[in-house]
Amino acid sequence: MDLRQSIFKPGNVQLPPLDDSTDSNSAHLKPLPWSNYFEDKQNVSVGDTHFNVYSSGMANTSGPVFVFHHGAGHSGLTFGLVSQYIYNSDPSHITVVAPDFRGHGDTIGENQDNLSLDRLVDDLAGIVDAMFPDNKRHIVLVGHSMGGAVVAHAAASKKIRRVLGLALIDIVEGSAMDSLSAIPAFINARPQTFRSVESAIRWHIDAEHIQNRESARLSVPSLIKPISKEDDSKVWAWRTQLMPSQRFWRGWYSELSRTFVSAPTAKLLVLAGTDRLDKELLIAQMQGKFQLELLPAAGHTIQEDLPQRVGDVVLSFWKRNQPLDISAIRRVNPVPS
Amino acid sequence: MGQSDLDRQIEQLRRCEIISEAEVKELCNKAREIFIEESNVQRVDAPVTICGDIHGQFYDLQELFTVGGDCPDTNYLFMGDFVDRGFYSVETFLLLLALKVRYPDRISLLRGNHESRQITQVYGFYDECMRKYGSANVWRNCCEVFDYMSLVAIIDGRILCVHGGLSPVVNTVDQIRMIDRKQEVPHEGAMCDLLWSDPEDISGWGLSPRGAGYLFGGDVVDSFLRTNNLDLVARAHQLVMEGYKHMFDATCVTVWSAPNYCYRCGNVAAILEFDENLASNFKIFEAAPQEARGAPAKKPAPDYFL
Repeated sequence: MDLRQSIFKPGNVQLPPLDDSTDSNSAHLKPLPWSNYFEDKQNVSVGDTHFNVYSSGMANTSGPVFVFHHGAGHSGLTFGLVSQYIYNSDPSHITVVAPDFRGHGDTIGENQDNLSLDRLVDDLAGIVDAMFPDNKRHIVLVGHSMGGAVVAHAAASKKIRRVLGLALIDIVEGSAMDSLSAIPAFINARPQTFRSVESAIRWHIDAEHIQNRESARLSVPSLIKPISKEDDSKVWAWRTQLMPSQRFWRGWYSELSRTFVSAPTAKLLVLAGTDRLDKELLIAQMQGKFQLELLPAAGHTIQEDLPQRVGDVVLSFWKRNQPLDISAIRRVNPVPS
Repeated sequence: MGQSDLDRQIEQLRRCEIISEAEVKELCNKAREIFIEESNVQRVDAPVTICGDIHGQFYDLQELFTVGGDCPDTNYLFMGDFVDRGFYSVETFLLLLALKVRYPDRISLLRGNHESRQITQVYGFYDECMRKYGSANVWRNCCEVFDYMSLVAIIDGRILCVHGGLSPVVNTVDQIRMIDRKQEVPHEGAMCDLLWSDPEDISGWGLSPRGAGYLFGGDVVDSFLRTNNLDLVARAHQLVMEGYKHMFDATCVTVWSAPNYCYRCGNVAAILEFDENLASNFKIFEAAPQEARGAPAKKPAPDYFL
């Protein structure tokens, strides 16, 4: 096969690395350390896996625990800004926990490519059990994209107990299923390597996957790892290969709307656009079964694009869903007279 | 604006054609003058036909008028949520407003939770105004009208009509009269609850999963009706697949008037007629045929990731 044919063979097309000769000197693309956003980074062993878990407020013994589950290809650091915002609203009571899930970030172990829904739900429940044995605190589960499916099933199956609230960020069964067929092309169109961490950060911002530069500087470095090329030069490649998980994709989203609506807890759905609701969710929303918040200014990674807005929405969702005290309501909102 | 101008605008809007921005402004001013005179608690005489959410489904509103009779031949009470979600919020709201100005004693319009600046900016009405007029002026004029719309209506002193439901901070109809309604829908308090609450099979009050308003049980309705010497709470706000739903031994009824909501929910719609003796009769209707309303554009799949 001649060279030209080989280069243009379908499926073998690779975008050249961006011209990023200046990126590595750019302060505005410099990676930000996790420790700016979380107090701890610890190893939590569950079964065959050592999970890397970011957290703040682990010494607190009362107050709510916010547990975050990232989407496929992301890491716990996608929640760095929003979890810091939530934690800082009441650091003497609130605990925030953001693990890197199986096959992602700094988590290591066996069977890292088993991303079946059941496996992920058990991983999440195992991490919560290990970190909060005999838990007596309320838990608010927050999941983005694929992580939304995991937290919805974890709450609905009651594998995690004392769930006070369930929050899904930009994930809807109907539109996720509709877009599955387009995702392989999307994945293949991404650059496979970057010349530097800074150029990977820049790519995420330029391609509008992350609108918030600060968040990109925090989260993107955890998505890539250095590899040596044949000529011993170093490039950065994705830590998580997404295509091998394709066989699990339908399983993540199938029945998600029904599972979410039936979960025995308070429910919040945060979306970047209203027309993403599928029929089942639309009916449930218009029957008042869950809270819907729309943040149309954001892209798919809403928690990174608008961390304060998402933080305010999640905090007020938690506060609102405390046990009802009508006399207190009447004190705050006096009867009109 | 002469009566013939107004009649011409009504004819135009009935054909689902928008009127000019200047005409909208004048219409909104006139409507506001009428609403200012109305109390928070609008008095309505039977016979009257009450209607629930419309949500910009203009061609289905035409079906409603076909089934229920035209205005002014039929006396109508709409319980809010005229805009958002459907493709013709502008034409829907302006037609109802024009009918209100033309026949103020034959149509009553209550405020729903979607008649709000904040909600219309994310659920479609704002974008539709921008698309159809190229500026936010029409949206702004309409929002000013929203602030003046009544919160509840009482039919013949017997039936309380409200978009959402009851409020834990409201025990009497007189307390509703004391609310300062001329404002954006607040996030909490009596006015918010009236527009957001839902009935539920619980006792007393419960947290609303919607994030605004409350759930109220049959005992709450019973006590409110006794205190205020009423027979029934009629409300909208919740999609009912069968178009209407009785609760709590028929002391509370939900009426939903947007068939095949959002063009994909597959529900029928209802209106509720009360004759001069307050005997009630539901009329069920389905969505306008597809060809009558033009096919909605197929939306592109979102740029989802995993």
